[in-house]
Amino acid sequence: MSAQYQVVSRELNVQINIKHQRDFVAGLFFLSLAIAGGLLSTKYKMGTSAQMGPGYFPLLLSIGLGLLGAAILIKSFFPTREDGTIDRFHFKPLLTVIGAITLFGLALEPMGLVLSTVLLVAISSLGSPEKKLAKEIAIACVFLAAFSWAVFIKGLGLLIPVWPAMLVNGG
Amino acid sequence: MEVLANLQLGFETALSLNNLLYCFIGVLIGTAIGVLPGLGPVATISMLLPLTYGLGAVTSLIMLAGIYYGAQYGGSTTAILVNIPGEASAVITCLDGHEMAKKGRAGTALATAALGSFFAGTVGTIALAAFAPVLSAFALDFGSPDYFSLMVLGLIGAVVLAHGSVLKAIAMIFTGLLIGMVGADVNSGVTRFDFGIPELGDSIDFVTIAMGMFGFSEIIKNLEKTMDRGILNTKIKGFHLTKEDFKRAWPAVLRGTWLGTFLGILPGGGGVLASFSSYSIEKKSSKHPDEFGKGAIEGVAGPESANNAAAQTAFVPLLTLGIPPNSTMALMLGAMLISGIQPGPMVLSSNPDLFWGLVASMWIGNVLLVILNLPLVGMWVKLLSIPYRYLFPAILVFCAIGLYSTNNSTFEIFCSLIFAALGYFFVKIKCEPAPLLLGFILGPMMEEHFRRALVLSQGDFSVFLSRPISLTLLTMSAGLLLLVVAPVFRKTRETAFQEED
Repeated sequence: MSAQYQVVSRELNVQINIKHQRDFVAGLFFLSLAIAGGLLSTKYKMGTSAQMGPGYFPLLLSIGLGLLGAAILIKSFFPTREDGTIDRFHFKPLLTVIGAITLFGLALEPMGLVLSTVLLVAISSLGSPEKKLAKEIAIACVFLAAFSWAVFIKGLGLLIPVWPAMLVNGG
Repeated sequence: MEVLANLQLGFETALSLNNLLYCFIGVLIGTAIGVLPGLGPVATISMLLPLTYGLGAVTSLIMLAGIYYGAQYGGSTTAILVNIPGEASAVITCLDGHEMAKKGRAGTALATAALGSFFAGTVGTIALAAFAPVLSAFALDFGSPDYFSLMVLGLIGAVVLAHGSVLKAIAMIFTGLLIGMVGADVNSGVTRFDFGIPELGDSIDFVTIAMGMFGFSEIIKNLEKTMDRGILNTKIKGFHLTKEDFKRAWPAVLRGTWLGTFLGILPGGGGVLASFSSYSIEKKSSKHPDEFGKGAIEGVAGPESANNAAAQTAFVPLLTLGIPPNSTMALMLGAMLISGIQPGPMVLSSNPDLFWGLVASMWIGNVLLVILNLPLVGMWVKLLSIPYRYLFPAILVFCAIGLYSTNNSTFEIFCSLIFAALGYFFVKIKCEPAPLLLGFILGPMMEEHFRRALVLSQGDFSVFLSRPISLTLLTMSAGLLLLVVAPVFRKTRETAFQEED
């Protein structure tokens, strides 16, 4: 019986203790960033206040951030009128956008602007919650590839490879 | 009559065919992104910045400024016609502007907004021309301790006058300052926080951060749910104000203009704060407060004038002190640095064509905006019917190519993605990214002045309190912070920003 009681109270404790989820996470984030920054700063020369080394100012900043982070963290344990629950993370748009741009970055130099643009448009389009038609996406790919070629290469004269290197060099 | 000679130089610069063209392109793009929700001026300017490197400082700043104030105009068009604020400062215009449109008075509302904005923009431009030289002359006496304290005031001001938790916003500033430390230390040449990555040796490009946090993460957020945009099918006609309209709108325009001019100069000021304050003043001082929210013309005239005046005078701290009052201005500061111009009180004497050319171009831009917005309003409404699923891949493509072209390397693209993910995380824990960007841009300058001040004082920290200018600035910062903690102000601040959410 007593064991059961403890579990309940522990659960209750957790629920009561963190009053503001967002601030709790924010506080933790700032605090850990401050600790990392502070530790890294100490690797550089500190110097004195009259003759500061490269580590002095970053360490001051880290201490400041650490205090702020701690304050936010502590505040999250106190009751508040605000609803502090964290919004759901939507991983689909997050991963499609990041994935599409990563591929664009990887493809740009070896494969050229046109093909990487097509890649970026096609993949990122999948991240949209609206209904997707293959035909529409294809049109968007062609249009944007042509448009960015016209604007960035022809219009602004940027030095970006347009076609795959092996095709241009004659293979 | 020095001002006249200066203005003449300004108009000569701004009216050169090239500058006029880029001013037009700027306000055109500005209006377009103002109309389109989900793409703000910060993301657009950072997207286009790399492409303006070749234009020269004056031309590029004229264009970027055009985007900034053009977005304010475009934002109100969508607010009135479709009840969607295309831009943050247009939120308040939805309340009465859209009500007017529903009553068939869309034309009147648009005309009020455009003419009020034009008047306010003109006054704001004159204020900029008048105030800036005075402030610049004053700032020439500033020493390093004063500059450091000024930046403290600027950063605190940006936090206090913005919305959301002050504590978290200050933590975001510190995060930005800390990220600003990445790269070579100017004094010792030591590379800091580079994690062995050579590209980090010359510090992170602010475009990379701005694009990740304002461009990419904004898109990710927008893709969470389908964007619902009501399309207006009614014909918009009748851009005229009756005598009665005019009599009611005119005083509101005047009050809004003064309020905006003043609030724009303050650090952290700018359009949003100005339009919110103007609305509440109009509502409180009105003889018929019950009409507000039901299509009161004052509710459009006041806030619209206020945000446009503030958009102009926000350039004052940037051009005279080199301190950006908000994130768009921070990008402008970056643009100046890239062109080799050290922002600060010297700009006025070392680059008079830049300063006066920019001032004159803003007035010209305002004229262009009235022409662009009233007769062509139908075209802008059509733009709204482009579904977001077409729009966002295009934005992604432009951002990605823009990032590549900052250094002709894909490193910037990958680096920006880290800030995109970080930005999305900040959205979820409700931390505004703007203070981080401000802190990042001011970080290296702050460190420089901090160190120089202490070298001069031989390590004595009291130097920040013993110089009268520095002491005043720090006292003001402390006062601002105390204000936020004070219950009375806190309550007004909460209500003022409530309607935005």
